[in-house]
Parts: sequence; structure tokens; C-alpha cells
Amino acid sequence: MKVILLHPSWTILRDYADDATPDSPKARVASHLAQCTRCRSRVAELRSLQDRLQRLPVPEPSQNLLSRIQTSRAGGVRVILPGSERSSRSRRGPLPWAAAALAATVAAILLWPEANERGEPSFGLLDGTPLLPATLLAQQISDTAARARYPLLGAVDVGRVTSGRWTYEGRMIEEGLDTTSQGVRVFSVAQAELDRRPVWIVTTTTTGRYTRGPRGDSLFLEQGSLRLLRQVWYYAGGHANSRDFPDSVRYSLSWRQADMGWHGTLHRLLFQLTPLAANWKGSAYVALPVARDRWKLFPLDQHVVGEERVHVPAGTFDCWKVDTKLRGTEATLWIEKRGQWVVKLSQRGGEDAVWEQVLTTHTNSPTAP
Amino acid sequence: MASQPGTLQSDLVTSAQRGDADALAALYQAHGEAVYRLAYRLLGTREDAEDVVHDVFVGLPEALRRYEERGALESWLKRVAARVALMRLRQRDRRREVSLDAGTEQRLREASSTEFTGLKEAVDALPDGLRSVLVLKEIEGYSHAEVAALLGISEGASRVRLTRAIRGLRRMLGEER
Repeated sequence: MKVILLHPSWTILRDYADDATPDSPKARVASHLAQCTRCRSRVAELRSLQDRLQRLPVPEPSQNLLSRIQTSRAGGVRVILPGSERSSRSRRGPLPWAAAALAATVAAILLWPEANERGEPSFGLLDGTPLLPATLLAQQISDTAARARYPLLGAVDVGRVTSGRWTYEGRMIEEGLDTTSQGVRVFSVAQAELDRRPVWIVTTTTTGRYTRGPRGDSLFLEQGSLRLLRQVWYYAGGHANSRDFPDSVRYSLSWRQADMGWHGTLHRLLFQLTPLAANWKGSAYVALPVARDRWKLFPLDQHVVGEERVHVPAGTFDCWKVDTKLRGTEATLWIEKRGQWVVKLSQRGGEDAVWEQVLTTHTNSPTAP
Repeated sequence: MASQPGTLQSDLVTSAQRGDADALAALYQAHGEAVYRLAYRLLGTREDAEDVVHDVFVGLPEALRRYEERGALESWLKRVAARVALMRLRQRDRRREVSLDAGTEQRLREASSTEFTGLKEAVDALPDGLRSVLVLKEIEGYSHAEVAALLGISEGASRVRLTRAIRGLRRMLGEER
């Protein structure tokens, strides 16, 4: 019997029906459709509905409409039309093109001062900095800065990293009723040494409901700079793989290979580094892969929208409630006020589904993996 | 309303910019129907749609002086028309149900086979914000980015509204659970 964990949302199916789904998700949706009668049927319904909508009859206009227009013109009537400016696509705001081009050039020089032997850009100055403490650079990275919703974070306080181990239960709540366990996530931060250099080992593992064992990764970050030195991947079958980054990180600043996307490892560490307060808003740059061997900077926007006391299996915690957004994906996190670790995470998982992680246990006595 | 060959269009635009009535009439013949259909679908009534077409073509000679895009005049015209229609949509009271004259209703009934039964009523019953996205995306074929730009919303909001509109339609048509 096939197990279909999650059905794509109507939005995803609509894009798929329209052939507007990007290639990678499209393959996943197609794979799902191949085994899901319900979703295949929905795609067919969506296409049928669009077809019927496009064929809805429209009554003919009055025969005298043109003469009415001509009479108005002849009578001196004039209408100032909205949006008839040069191009409706140039909605970027008042920045002159010349200044934008100059800023883009400066950004290109700063961000991509060199290319590797295959002609792919490296991050140059930013090598190995997983969260780009970008106040300095922000002045130049104008187009990225323009996409940040809030003031950019200054250099994050790397001294705020604290060790510990946090365990979360993932669950999907559909239609506000059905709750399905989605497995367990474990996040840990431990002190260690790598080649006699003090490092933090930041580990995230996930055990899915139907997987054979945990999978995840460990990031070995140089203390003081948080520069990535080594990454180790663990696979569900029990084997592992690693890569060292002795000089520069041309390929991978993986703040996720396991777990559940950008809000996994990234957020959990970020919130340790960021001093939160009521109504605090801030954006940080993160480097994320957009294709094989290709990376791009994205602003991660965060806004403290309130304070709440949250009850989770690990206990009751006074939390900051933080709305976050990255690449069009939005989530809400509840951050414990004193230690600033993630207590709860909530994200829409489809049209009628909410995907959550809640803290089940935590300890301040970590052990290195 | 028939299409004009592309080679003539630039001459028509130039002449219309100068206020030439014949050129304006030719542009109306070429593009009036597309503008009208878009307006009708957004506003739901012939009366409102004709008002939009009237305003667009009365204002066209002056607007064309700021028109610099190459080709795709109809696309530009439809964007302008969509903005006029959306402005009207925001301003007007919902009065669609009393504005259809008897003849129009009769023609619609005749034109509607059973497959359309209830669909127009369901579309018209959607809130303006949802119906606008539905019309622009599903019928007119705009991308979410273009819909977002026209409506002053985010692309994400456009997607959400489309999904809500579709689910609303399905509920009204009895196709959802």
C-alpha cells in the first residue's frame, strides 16, 4: 500500500495545472500525481473550470459605443487614464536607472570579486559567513537591501551562542482537525575542537514518521567568526559523508540539508545570536542555493509581533512571538525569552494545513555527536 | 471589431496621438472588443464595461503620447483598461443585479448551455478582490506577477486570492465536497 503523506495545496495544483510550476517542485508534484487519484482529479477539475471560465459568454457591446466615444472627443471631453505611463513593469520606485546600475555594479564587484575555475562566482569577502552580518555590505548591495523589509542586522553577536540540545515533535494539522505526527527533530550545539581550533558543532537531525533512521547534518563553525569549516551529512541508512572548507566556501553553506528547510538550523542558531525585544524588526542576509553550485543572497525578515506564554510538551515558556519571511515563505516562531531558543514553530503547509514543531525536551548539557 | 495589420498600427498610433478621429476609430475597431471583454469580466455588467471602454478610448490620444512600448499595444491597452475597471470597481456600489437589461439577460440565457449554468452567477457573487484575480489570472491569462502589479498586492496574495476564488466557486457550484 502506498503512503501519501501530504497532498499538494490547491495553490500548487493550480500552478501545476497552468504549467507554471518551477521544474523542481513540478517533478515532485508530478510524482505525487502519478500515485494520487484525488489530486489528479483536482488538476483535471481546475483545468475544466478554467476552460469554462474562458468560454463564459460576454454580451455584445452597444452598437453606438464608438459614436458615443467620438461625440465625447468632439465635445472636448478628456480623460486622464491611470497607469498609462511608459511601462507598467517599471514599478521599482524612484531610484534612477543610472544610480541603480552603479549600485548593481558596486555590488557585483564586492560580492563576486572572483570566479572559480569553472567560471562560477564565489562569495569572496563573504566566504564562510553563514549569516551575513551585512550592515557594512548592505550599503552597497542595493538591490538585495531593497528587498529586505526591515533594517538590516548589524554584526550578530557570536558570543551569544549557547550549547544545548533541543528536541521537537513535528506535526501537521489539517483542516484544523486532523493532527498527524511528522517525526522528531533534534537540534544541538556543542563545543569541540577541529584541528586544534575551537568550534561549535551545530547538528540537526530529523527522524521522519516513515524513515528508517535519523538523517541530518553537522556544521563545524569556527568560534568567533562562525565560519563554516566542515559539514558532515548523516543519511537514514546510517552512513555519513563530509566535506571540509579549509579556505573558502565555494559550494555549500548548507544551513539545511536535513530537517525542514530554511527555518530549521538557520533559525535556531540565528535566534541565539539576535537580541530580541518588543516590536523588534530586523533583516539578515542568508546565502541559499538556487541551483546546483549556484547561490544567491536573500533577506530573512523577522519581526517581533508580541509576547505569549506557550504550553508545549517540554513545559510552559514565556516567549517572543516572531513573524519571519524568507523567499516568500512565512512562518511564526515562538522564542523563549531568556535563552532565546525556539519553543514552537508554525507554518502553513497548504491551503488548509498548518505545519508545526513543538519543543518536547531540552537540556543545557550537550554532548558532541 | 477586426484586427489591424501590425504595419499599420504604428501609423495609427501616431495619428491617434495627434487626435485623428479616424485613427482612433480604427484603434477602437482593432482593440475595442478585447478591452470591452476584459472590462465586462471584471465588472460584470455591460453598462459598466461600456463606460470603461468609453473612458479608455476618449483618453487614449493623450495617453498614447506617453506610450513608448514596442508592439503589444493591445496588452498595454488592456492593462490601462484593467486599471480603469478596477478603479471603477472600488468606487461603485454593487449594483450588477439590477443593471442587466432584459435583452442582455435573454441573450445570456440563450448563449448559456447547461455547462455555464450558475457559473456566471457564482463568479459575480465572489467578492471583488477575489473575482478580480480570478478574471485576470484564469480568464485573461495574466501571470501572478502581472496581477499583483495591477492590483497593488503581492504575488503571494494573488495566489491566495486565486485559490480562495476557485474554492469559493466550487462551493457555490456544489463541486466541493
